[in-house]
Amino acid sequence: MAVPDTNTFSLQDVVDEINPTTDDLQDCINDANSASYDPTYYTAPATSLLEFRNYGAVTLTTFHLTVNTPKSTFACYGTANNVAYHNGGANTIAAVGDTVYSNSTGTTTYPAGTYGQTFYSGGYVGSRIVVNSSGVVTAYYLC
Amino acid sequence: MKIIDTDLKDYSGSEFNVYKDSEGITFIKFSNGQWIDNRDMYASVFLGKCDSCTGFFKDSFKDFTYDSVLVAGLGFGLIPHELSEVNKCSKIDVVEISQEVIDYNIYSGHLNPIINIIKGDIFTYTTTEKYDLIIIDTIWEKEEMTEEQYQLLVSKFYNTNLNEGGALYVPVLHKWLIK
Repeated sequence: MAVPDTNTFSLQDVVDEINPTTDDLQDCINDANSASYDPTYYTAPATSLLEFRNYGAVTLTTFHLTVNTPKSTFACYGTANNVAYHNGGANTIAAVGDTVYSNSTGTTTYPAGTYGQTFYSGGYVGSRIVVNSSGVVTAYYLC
Repeated sequence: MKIIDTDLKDYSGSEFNVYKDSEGITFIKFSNGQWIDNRDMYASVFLGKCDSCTGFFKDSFKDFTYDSVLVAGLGFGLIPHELSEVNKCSKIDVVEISQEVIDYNIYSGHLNPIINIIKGDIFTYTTTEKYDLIIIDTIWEKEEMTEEQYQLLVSKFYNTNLNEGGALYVPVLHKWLIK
């Protein structure tokens, strides 16, 4: 069960969710899956207990990316048939601040680059995103 | 169209490296981090040919015909390659600022000999030649060229080097100026 979506949860709630080696905050941070944080309350890397609010409740959303493009112009004209996952909740595509993953379990972040994105494979690319080396979307542009 | 990857020789130099990734796609990566890979889409987008090219690129080339072209910026020559192998242009001049890039393309030997490569800086290069199309492909992102620099290119080339009905074209800036 996820950590409660309130600001009154305890370290034990986090321990119950993560089951770390030792039951302290640092070990929870060490063992946490970055895809399971709620981006509303979390900024990488986690440094406080409150960043675990709603941890575990977030599910990844499947969407599709073009290949990494050398000039951002090209991102809007590629074919988006590479599967990716973001933690942006109900949004069909990624937005600034979301983390992008290359696997559905959220253990591997997507490589840095500039990509066109769409919510179905091979679909119309309506926007492009810039992903940094941590897999976080740092910029979003309409095509 | 892309260049056949096996025709592109690997290279390690001071300004850039040329290498293949795990899928055999060739990359040229410059020391400043800028790069380009050998894919069909790049020349086709910039020359308004791709199926998904709606808007600026498609509209610019609609009903536009050209045979003589000046290209600024070489890389490993995706645009000149398209112009020679697909468009069959009769005159393709390329101005490239980097001697190392020029030397690599000669060493690799993948480009059609009809492509005439000239060492120069497009902002100072002068010629009396006339072209149907002048493509400025020296930048990766629009922030790399100021409006003043663009106007300098217009003042240099528009009257002197464009045929009537020709176009000065900066694809990254979405600038298309017909004479």
